Formats: sequence, structure tokens, C-alpha cells
Amino acid sequence: MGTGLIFTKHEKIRPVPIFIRKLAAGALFVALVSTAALLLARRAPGDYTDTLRAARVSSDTIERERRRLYLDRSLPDLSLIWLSGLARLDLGTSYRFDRPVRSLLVERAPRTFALVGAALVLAFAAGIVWGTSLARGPRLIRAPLSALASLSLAMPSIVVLFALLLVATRTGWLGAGDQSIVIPLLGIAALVVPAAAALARMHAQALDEALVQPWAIASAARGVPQRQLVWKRGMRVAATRVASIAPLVAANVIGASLLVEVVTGWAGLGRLTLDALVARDVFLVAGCTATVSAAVALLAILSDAVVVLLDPRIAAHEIQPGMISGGAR
Amino acid sequence: MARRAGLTLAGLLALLMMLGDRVAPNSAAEQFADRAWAPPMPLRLDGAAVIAHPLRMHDRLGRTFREDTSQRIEIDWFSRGRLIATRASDPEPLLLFGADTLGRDVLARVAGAARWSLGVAVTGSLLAIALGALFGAIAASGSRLVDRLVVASATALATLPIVYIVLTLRAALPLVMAPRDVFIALALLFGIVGWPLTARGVRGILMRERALDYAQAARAAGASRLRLMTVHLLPATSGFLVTQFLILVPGFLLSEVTLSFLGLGFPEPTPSWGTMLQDASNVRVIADAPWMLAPAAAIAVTSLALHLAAGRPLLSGGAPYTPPGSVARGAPSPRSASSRSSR
Repeated sequence: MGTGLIFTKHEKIRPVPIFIRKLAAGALFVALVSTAALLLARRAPGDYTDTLRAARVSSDTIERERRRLYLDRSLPDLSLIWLSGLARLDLGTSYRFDRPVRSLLVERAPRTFALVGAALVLAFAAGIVWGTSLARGPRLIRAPLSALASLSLAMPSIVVLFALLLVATRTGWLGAGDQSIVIPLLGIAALVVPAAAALARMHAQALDEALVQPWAIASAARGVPQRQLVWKRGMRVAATRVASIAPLVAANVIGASLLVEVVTGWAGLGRLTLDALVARDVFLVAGCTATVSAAVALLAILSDAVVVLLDPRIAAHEIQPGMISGGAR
Repeated sequence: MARRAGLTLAGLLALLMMLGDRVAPNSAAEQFADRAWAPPMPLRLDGAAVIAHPLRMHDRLGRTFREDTSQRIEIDWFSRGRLIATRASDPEPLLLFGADTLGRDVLARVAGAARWSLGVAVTGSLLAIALGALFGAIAASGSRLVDRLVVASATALATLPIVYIVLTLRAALPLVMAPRDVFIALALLFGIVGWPLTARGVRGILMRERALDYAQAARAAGASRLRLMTVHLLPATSGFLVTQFLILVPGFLLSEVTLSFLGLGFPEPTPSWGTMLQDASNVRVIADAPWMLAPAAAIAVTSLALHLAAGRPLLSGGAPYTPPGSVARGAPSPRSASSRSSR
């Protein structure tokens, strides 16, 4: 893959146009995914005006309402209305909340991003320390740490959350603090556990492989202290691998955050998406999907950028086209 | 060893999936009057017999129960079509995991839910790997269109959170459906969502295997394309498919739990781990009736068993696959070399 020790002769690196191309691919991805969600929500049996009909609103009013909400349009028309709006970041109006979709998203999305972002930052920090100890820590703690990693990796966030809630109610911690602060913190912890374990495993494996490379052996022979080798030079190489699987971990955390949000009562994107889907709120469904897909697309691009920055041997054009840079590098 | 433990546990879960609530002394649907929120009944040894004492409601408002030690419920194994049963003459219910809001046996419901929650995840995963093997084979044998489709959908799916995709697809169907229809719909959805990841892996293995000597020899001996694929090449993917299956099941189980929790999965009174957890998702309930968290424990055990059985825990599909018997590339194994370098 051109990542050998000898620098391969490759084209002049032009990262900027490549990342612009990646951004364009990401935009296309967001457009496709959100339009697909829009059409699915529109094709779903029942629509918003059913509730009006049930409330015995006159058929004239319903007809007017359908026209206002674009419910009388054909599917291709609807897609065009959505896509042209998306280009201008005008995401239409939510039927259920009777508010512009954009203002709803601006209100709710940051809450989800705060939850997921905090969980990811903590997971990375914990994963790297955990992974380093797994690979090069004192022999005595490696086995328990490894067992803990296998266990944590298999535990879904929702199970961890219930376990934490159980411990919190038993020990009385929950009563000690403000519940509206403690419960979301438990939610973050629940998201961190499986993600940190996954990152720890990946980091340990990458570090194990990096530290037997000739450069590492040569450095050790020259007298570079083991600590520096593990925490500085090896870290940089292993971080490349960890960065390349980061989007996968992030996608898992975003998926798990859906249920965590509902259980902890955190009014974020997950709850909003669910409400939109159940209410057949077509534009809100598309808006939520666009936000989630834009977030994962941006994370994928960010991870590619980090990989290129960390490892100058990997030129930007070598990264697989598409959203994911693959965990197999 | 961990792998063997995982496989054993997975086998037991498969048995549980087939037996359903027949492992419990009561049926999952039966409601016992005056037993709402009853705590688990401890089993005691009385000589050689295993017995329990019936619970009597002590305080209706405080929902407290007391053991009535003057009476005993004797356990009868393997009788009346149940693994654990009580004597037919015994009027008192045996509630080993306690009772839920409606006075239903939590053990029976957790076991009965295995049939639905685990059943739909297993069926969906089987469908996904069958479709994945089929499309992977088609992609590898030269159809450029399918090839592009496989790679593109696997890439997109690997990036998006699966739960969101399944939720959006499920919401496009009627919101209220009969349990059987939910089962079929979810299994099909899981198949649709799961195949691209499997197909990409199968395609990769087939493309590599095709270049090996044995495949060329088969071709030289006059094997048709179909025979080459089915008899010679596809068996090489079996290890990958088993691993993929073991990885998909916990993922889809979690999707089912999420959907049922959100009210888009199996409807009441069908027992499902997701709907049961919904009943428990309240700090008061967790504090007063922790036995309601039994489905969370069931999910944890299932997920752990399948992760252990899959061997090296993986994040998602498309992971590097080493065919059995192949020697890992590269020089010495990390462990031996690392101990050398640290000296």
C-alpha cells in the first residue's frame, strides 16, 4: 500500500484539491441519504393530514394544508424541492412542531453533538492509555486489562447505562447530586465504555506491530528510552491506525446515543428523529438524516486528514475514495 | 478457551431461543393477581428437595411482600412440558425472577422474549449472510454493476449508524403491526442492511482465492464457472461467514431492542427484551424493582457470548481475513520480538 519503509515515488501531493473532492463526495452522500429518508417517510402509510381529518377539519382546509406542506406533490417534485432547499440550507417546515426545520436542528443537534463529542473525546483519551497499557504495561495488569477490554467491547451502551443507573440508585449517588446533571453524565459514561475498549484494542494492536518494526528496534538499540519509544514514536504510528477507524467508532457511538438520549431524557437529535418518523414529518426526517449523515461524512474526512498529517508516507490520493478510509490499512 | 466458553454459551442461548418460556414455571402471558412488583423468590434446600416459600403481600401501597414460611412450593423438574415446574396441585406461582407491573413472571418473559428478540436477530443475520454470499459471488464473478453496488453500499453502510438506518426503514412501514409481521419485516430489514458488509468480504476472499493454484487447476480441468464458484471457491468463505454471522447477531439484537424500546418493534403483550427494558427505564423502578433489569442482563450475556465466540472482537465487517492454515505475513510474532527488543 505504499507504506513500506522505502519512500515510494508518487505524484506530487496536492492535498487541497483532494480534500475539496472529498467534501464534494460528502455533500453528495448527504444529499442521497437525506433524499432517500425523505422519500421513505413520504411513502410510509399515513401522512400528517390524517390527524387533521381525524379532528374533522373541513376538506377545504385539509387541501390547503396539503398544498402548503407540499403533500400534494409527486415524489420527484418533492425530492427537487428538498434538494434545492438543502443547497440553500433552507430545510422546509416541520409539520409537527410548526417551525422551520433548521431552527429545530440548530436547537437539538448541538445537544447530541455535545453528548457524542464528550463521549468520543473521553473514549479516545481512555482508549489510548488503556491500549498502551495493554500492549506495554506492567505484565501483571495486562491480563485483567485485556479481559476487561473484551468484556467492555461486548457490552452495548444501553446495558452499561442500566448497570450504571442500578449502581447509582443502590449507592445513593443519584440522590447526592442534581439528577439532571448526574443522569446525562452516566449517559456519557455508557457511551464511552464500549468505544474506549474498541479503541484500546486497536491501539494496542497497532502499537504491538509498530514497535517490532526495524526503526523501533534500531531506536531501542541506539538507547532511546522505552518510555519515549512507546509514548512518543510508537504513539504517532499507532495513532494513524486509530484515526483511520475513528469514523467507525463514531458511527457506533452516534447509533448508541439514540437510545441513551431517550433513556436519560436528553432532548437531542435521537428523540427528534423518532418524533419526526412517527409523525410522518417528512422534512424533519430528511433534516435529521441530513444532519447525522453530514456529521459522519465530516468525521470521515477529518479522519482522512489526520491520517495524512500523521503519516506523510500516505499521500492524500492514496486514501480510498469514498467515505471511509478503511480499518485495514 | 474464551472462544469455547462463548460457543457453549451461544449454544445454550440457541436452546433457550427454541424453548422460549418453557424453561420457566409459568407462561409469559399469564398474569398473577396481587403479584405485581413481587420480588424474586429465593430457592431453598429442604433435604433433597428444592423448595420455595410463597410470597404474601404485606403492604399493598408500599408494594412489600413477605415469605410465608408455613407453606412450601416444591419444584418439579421436567414435568408438564416445562424445564422448571411446580406441582399441578400447587396453587401458588413460582416467580424466580420476580414479577413485572402486571404480575407476570419476569423469568418467563425474558425466556419467551429470547424467541422473538434473539430469533429475529438470528433470522436476519442468516438472511444477510446468505444474500451477502450470493451478491459477493456475483460481484466477484465479473458483473461490474453488482460489483460497484456492493462496494458503494458497503462503504455507505459502514459509515452510517446502523440503528438510524433500521429505524428509518422500519418507520416507513405501518407503525402498528402484528408480532408475526414485525418479525418478518425486521428480519427482511436486517437482511437488507446486513448483506453489503458481508458481500464485500466475500468478494475480497473470492477474488484472492481465484488466483490461487487450486482454482486454476479446477479451471484447467474444465470446471464450469458455476461449479468453480460453488464447489471450489465459496467453501473458502465459510470461516468468514461464520464470524460475520456472530458479529451481525448482537448488532441486530441491539437494533431490535432499540426499535421495541421506542415502540416500533414487537407490540405488547409479545415479550421482547426491548419492550421489557422500556418498563424498567425509570429511576424509581430501577431502585425499587431491580429484577426488572433482567432483560438487560440477557442482552449483556448474549452479546458477550457471541463476541467471545467470534474470536477476535471486531468493530464491523470488511476486516482482514486469514484463511485457515495460512502463515501470517511479516517476520517474527509481535510478542517474541517485543521481548527481544525490550532487553
